[in-house]
This record gives sequence, structure tokens and C-alpha cells, in this order.
Amino acid sequence: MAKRLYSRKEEPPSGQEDYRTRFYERYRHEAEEYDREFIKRYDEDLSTTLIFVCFASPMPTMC
Amino acid sequence: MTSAFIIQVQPELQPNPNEETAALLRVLIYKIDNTTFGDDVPPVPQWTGPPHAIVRVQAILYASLAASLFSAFLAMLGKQWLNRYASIDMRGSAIERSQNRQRKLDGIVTWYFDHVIESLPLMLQFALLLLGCALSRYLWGVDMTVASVVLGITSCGLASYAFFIIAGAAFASCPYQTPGAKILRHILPLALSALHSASSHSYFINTINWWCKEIRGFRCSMEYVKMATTTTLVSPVVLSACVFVDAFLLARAMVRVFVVNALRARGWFRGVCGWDQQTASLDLQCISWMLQMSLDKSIHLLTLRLLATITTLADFNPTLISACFDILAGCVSIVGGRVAILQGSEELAVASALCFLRTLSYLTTMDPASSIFKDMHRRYAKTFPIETDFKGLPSYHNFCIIHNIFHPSLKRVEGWRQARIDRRPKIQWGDYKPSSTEHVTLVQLARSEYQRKRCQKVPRWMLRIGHHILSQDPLPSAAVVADWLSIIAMDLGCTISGTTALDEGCVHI
Repeated sequence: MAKRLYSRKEEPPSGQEDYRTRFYERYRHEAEEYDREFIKRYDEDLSTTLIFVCFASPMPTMC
Repeated sequence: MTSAFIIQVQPELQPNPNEETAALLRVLIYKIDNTTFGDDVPPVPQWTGPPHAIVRVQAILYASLAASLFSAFLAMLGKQWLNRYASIDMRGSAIERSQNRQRKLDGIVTWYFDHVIESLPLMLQFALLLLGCALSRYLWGVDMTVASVVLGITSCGLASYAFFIIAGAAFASCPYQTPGAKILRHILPLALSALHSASSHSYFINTINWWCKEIRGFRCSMEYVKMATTTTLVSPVVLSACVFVDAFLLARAMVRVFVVNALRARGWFRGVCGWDQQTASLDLQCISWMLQMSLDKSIHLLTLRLLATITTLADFNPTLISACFDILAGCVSIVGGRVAILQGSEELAVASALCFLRTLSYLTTMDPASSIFKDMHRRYAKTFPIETDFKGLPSYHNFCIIHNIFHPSLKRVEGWRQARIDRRPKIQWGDYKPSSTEHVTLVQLARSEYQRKRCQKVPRWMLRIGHHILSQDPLPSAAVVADWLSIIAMDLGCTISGTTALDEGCVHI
């Protein structure tokens, strides 16, 4: 069954190593996209916290 | 804000030099001219330490300041951690880099990084609450009107925050989600079940219930008066005894919970310690992540084919199974009890069915009592009802085997006789020739199915697979034949030595 399916593709896979290389290529693309969003989300959260603290704490100098 | 207020309140902790100067001046004037203050000598105030209220206010204020500074400190560290996560090690091949990244991501999940970052604002909110408390307490001593305004606004804020938490916990679709709501959603069911079991086991509540019933029963009779007198006589003693027993039970339950949680923490810690060493399962972690994150069918296909080539499936994350099932369920549609594969996803269906079967067989062998298995059972039964027909599908046999695992034949009592009702469609074995990896999977499945139904027989459909495999013309390898023979022997009630390595096990009849 597996062989019949593979024969439909243009590039015949040579086994596990081939799959592995191709898989990790795709993985890197997906991971980059995911990580960018992940880091952006938490970075914004932390920035908000920092800005709030900066606003709330050193007000004393004004009084 | 906090520190501004602290500076405002700070002088009240120390003796006020102006006050002393004024008093001394008064004394001076008195010496010069006795008539200004009447007859008594104006007193010079003695400093007896700061007032208690001010000390309390200052303590709360400093706590607030420390909390907000601490959260700022953690936020700064968090930014650094995020940067470290984002940085890519420039050494190693693409595969090594990807695996390194997966290791970091797994660490984030294992160490609850997102929970920690999300709960940082909690500390800040707590600091704000402390500030509100301190401000109202301080102003209470200064002026009631101003204090009541501050107190009102603080309690308004507190009430709205409580509303946000409760609404967020009660409704998942509520947009006012806070970290507190998340915690509450986790804790509330536990607390409710604990309360329920406590109330059903509590001697105090049971005794009160019993009295209520007794009194209600005796109310109309003459004995009610007698009963009431004995109740009032006995009640304090019995009630205090009940409270005592309850306290003991509560303490025991708390110790038990503590022990259970300590054991769980120890298990978690051990898992964390062992985490860095295992690199063999990193491929599987990457595959699992990819299947869950991606929505692209070509990526799914590639990933599942890679998964199918991996020979040792040891130590994988059980979520891999549900990911495989999600893909499988995503490429079929059920119309009138018949399964049809969606246009263009035939290959995906075949690959996902094979991977689902393989991962499932490993899970049933490694951890038969897994919660994932129960969850899968529920979801499978919902997607594929028992009468589902798989005829004409590309990997008909794999589908049928999966179906038989999740829908075991039921034993029901009908009238006076006990009958097995099997509404599952019978599997047509035909010219089924499993591959070598499928052979291993099938044997494992048969064994775990047998072990799951302790001291019972191997399921009939499993034996039929065995018979089919043993009746093939060029027999499969000797190990496979030995495995199936030993499974048939187990069904016949023979003892087999060395059940861990089935292919070497020898049968004693």
C-alpha cells in the first residue's frame, strides 16, 4: 500500500533519512512563525507590566 | 504613587521638631509674661514613639512598594528569558537546531513558564490593592469624608475585579479573562467535590440532619416534649464530640492531600531532572508539536510518514495519539453509517490510521490505565458510532481494528439468558497482508487487550486476525508466528513464562 502511494509523487523518498530532512525543513519554518508570535505576545505583556510599574512607583519626585 | 505617599507619611514616624520648638516658645512666652496662657505652665510634649495607626499604614505601604518593585524585577528577568529563548544557537545542523528549539519549548511547558509570566500582573494588582487599603486607613484618621470617598472607590474596584474573576471563570467565552479566573476554574471543581464529600462524611452535619428528622417525626406526638428535653440535655456533649471527630477527619484529609501533592511534586521533579538526558524522544516531540500546530495537509502527511518510519516509539507524549486521531477524524465524513474519505485526503487518512493504530498499541502496552485512553474512547465513540461501516476504504483493516478496540463487544442480560450482542460489522479479512511493523503492532495490541481484561479471554476478533495471519501462504517471520501461537495459548488458558519478551516466551501445557 505504502509503495503504491509513494509512486504517485514525483520525488521518490529514499527512506527515513529523507523524510527526516524534509520534515525538519518544514519544522523550522513553522517554528519560526510560532516563536515570533509567542515572543511578541509575552514581550508585550511584560512591557505593559514594566510601564505600569514605572508609572506607579517613581511618582514621588513630582510631589 | 506609593512612594509619594510613603514620603508624605514618613515624617509622622519621627518626632516632629516643629512641635517641640513651638512648645518651647510657648514656655518662653510664659516666662516673659505670665498672663498669656493663664496660670498653668504650658507642657513640653514628650515623644512616645509613632502612633500605631501610622505604623500600620506605613507597613502596608512598604509591602505595596516592595510587591510592585518585585514584579518589575521579575518582568525584567522575564524579558531576558524571552530573549534567551529567541536566540538561536548558530552551531549544529538544521536538525540539531530544531531539536534544540523543541527542547527549549518543552522546557517552557514543563516549567509552567507561561503561567508564571501571566501571573506577574497579579502581584501588581495586589500592590495596588494594598495601596488602596493603606490610603483609606490613613485618611480615616485624617478626615472621614475624604476617607469614605477613597474607600468607596477602592471597594468598587475590588468588587468589579471579583466580578471579572467570577465571570471569567464561569464562562469560557467571557472576554474579561484574568489569571485569577484561570486558577479559580481549576480549583473550584476540586473544592466543590471536597466540600461535598466533607458534608456527606461530617458527623456534625449528619447528627444535625438526624435530629431534624427525629424532631419532625415526633412533632405531632406526645413524646415530642420528652424528646426536646433529652435533646437539649444531650446536644452540647454530642455536638462537641461530633465537632471533635470532624476536626480529626479534616486534619487526616489534609495530611493525605499534602502527602499526595508532595508525591506528585516529587514525580514532577524527577521528570524534570530526567528531561534533559532523553534525546531519543526529541524526534517524537517535534512530530507531536508539528501535528498539533500545523493545519497544512501536506505537512501532516509528511509528518505522519516520518512517524510511520520510526521503529521505536518509546516515551512519547500521549497527546501524539489525540493529534493523530484529530487528523484522522478531519479527513473522513460519516453519511448514513458509512464512512467516506474526503476528496484529496486519501493518503492522509491511510497514514493517520496507521499512525493512530501504532501509537495506540504502544500506549495500551505501556500505560493501560492512561487517562488519554479513556478520553480517546469517549471521542472515538462520539465520532464513529458502533454500527459504522468501513467497507471500501483504502486501509479498511486498520480502520476495523481501531473500531474494534474502541467498541468492545458488550455483555448484556436479556431476560433469563446472558447473550453477547455484537452490533459491530464483521471484519472481512480477505487478502490482508500486514507489513512487518504492523505485525509488531498487532501482537502488542493483542497482548495488551488480553492484559486489560484480566483473567478473561483474548477478544475473538483478535484471535481471528491471528488465525488469518497464521493461515497465510508464505508464513510471516518465525517471531511473529511464535507470538501469535503464544497468544492463542494464553486464550486457551496456558501459563506462559517470560511474558515480557513474547517472541521468546515458551508455552507450558
